[in-house]
Amino acid sequence: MSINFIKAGMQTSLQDLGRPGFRRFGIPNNGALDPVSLQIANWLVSKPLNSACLEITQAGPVIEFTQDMAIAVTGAHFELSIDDIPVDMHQTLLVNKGERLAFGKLVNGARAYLAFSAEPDLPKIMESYSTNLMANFGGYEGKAFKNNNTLPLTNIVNPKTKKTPKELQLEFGDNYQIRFVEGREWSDFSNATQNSFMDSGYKVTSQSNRMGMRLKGEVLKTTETLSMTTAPITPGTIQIPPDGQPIITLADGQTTGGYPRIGQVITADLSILGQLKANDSISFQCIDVDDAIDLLNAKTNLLKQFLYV
Amino acid sequence: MPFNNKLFVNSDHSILIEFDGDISENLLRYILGVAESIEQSPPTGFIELVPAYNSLLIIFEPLEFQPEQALSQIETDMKQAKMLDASSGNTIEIPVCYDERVAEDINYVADYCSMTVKELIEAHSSQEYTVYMLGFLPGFLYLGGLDERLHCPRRDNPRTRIEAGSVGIGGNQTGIYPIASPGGWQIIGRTPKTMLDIHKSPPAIAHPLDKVRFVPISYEEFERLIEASE
Repeated sequence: MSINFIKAGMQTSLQDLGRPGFRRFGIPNNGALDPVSLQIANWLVSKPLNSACLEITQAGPVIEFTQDMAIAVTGAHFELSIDDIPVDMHQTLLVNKGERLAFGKLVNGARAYLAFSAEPDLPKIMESYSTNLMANFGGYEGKAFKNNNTLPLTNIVNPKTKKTPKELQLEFGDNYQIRFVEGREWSDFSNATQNSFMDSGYKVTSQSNRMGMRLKGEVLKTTETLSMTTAPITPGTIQIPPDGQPIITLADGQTTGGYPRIGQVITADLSILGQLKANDSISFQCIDVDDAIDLLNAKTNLLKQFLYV
Repeated sequence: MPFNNKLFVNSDHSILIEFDGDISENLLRYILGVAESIEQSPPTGFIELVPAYNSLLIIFEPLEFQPEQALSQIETDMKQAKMLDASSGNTIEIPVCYDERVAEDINYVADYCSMTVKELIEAHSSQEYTVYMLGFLPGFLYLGGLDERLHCPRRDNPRTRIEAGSVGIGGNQTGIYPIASPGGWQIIGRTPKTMLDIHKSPPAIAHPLDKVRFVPISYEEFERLIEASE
């Protein structure tokens, strides 16, 4: 029982909701960059919402199934086909032994999630199936899939078919306003620089990956050169290195950093970052922590309303 | 409290404590004591904490994070915090091969520091280092205590790949690359020892306050140990 990769795609890796609890050993959370889409995909195949999925980046794979099973694709909008017949995302798809699912053109977004109604027949590392691409552990041999790799599966079931509720079928643009709370060194930037950070807008660069999103735009400098001591950072921390161009830490990012922290992207907006790709635009809006918590609660309640029942 | 501190609501899922005072083992012992007291009676939604040189980050499940309640409980915990004993760390010996076949920059560093290679090895391996924190890469140890005579600038052109186990000097720091990665430090040796064992709990071989000693080994011994570990 397995999924075979006829073509692997640009970066297809196994991810779940990650491995919290190991940051003090320098080990990041890992896990899906768009955890909302991952959970919806798992719901469509009637799996626990934190189950492992394939995270598919920009250029998708061609996959052959060696067993009947149920699958579902959410997240970035791809054109999909099974044995050359077009199929839709956001629904349970029953696939038969020997059939091939092909990811075609990427319409919008950056990362799709393919859930399957089975367990990976692989060891969990630190309680998670997520792949750490930097240290090469977890997932499938710690790496992104390559052509002709085989993901072994166990405990296959065939669930009922479902569709993603309209309210949760997100389409992704190329221009986002991302909300943040003031970072620890926010006040070391002048008012003019703070405003420039919020008003000028940034472009995502092609140097971005699962560790960090590198941005290009107005150069930002602190009013004085800070002598920073290495300190803990988390996904969403926006640091300003000496070249003045922001870097946002993502799920695979370093656990500590030494550059001024201008802001922290709110947890409710982190999943959107996972759908941005090179040349997409991003602008920043500052809010306070209480509002950030309210926004996360509202977003989670929407998910719960449909998925947790 | 032996060190003054400030608490910040750092984000919608974390509280940051910053401590006054120069980086020192005493400060580290205090930070770890605070960490221990927080872990003994964790606030609602607590997930994990990350101690660093002069700060401590406390991370929460964002949906359960109650900033005001967490702040007041952490303040209470801090009042009960005790500095950890000076003897609470372990001493860990790390075998290092300083042979130029795995120590590409050792001749350069010896020249820069006006030492012979033998003197450099002696200086680097006679010191007892203190682990201050882990971060940067999985299993990377931030060590204190590099002999001033060995301070040496980073390479002008960082290498795109440094092998796992490489021992380097960067400025006033020394350390070991736990996994293959890009890096700009001067490479003066390599250890056959695994710095990160993902199947063990905890996965790292050392913790803050542990002492590290580098024990020189020959190239033949290095090869033998590498083979034995495969």
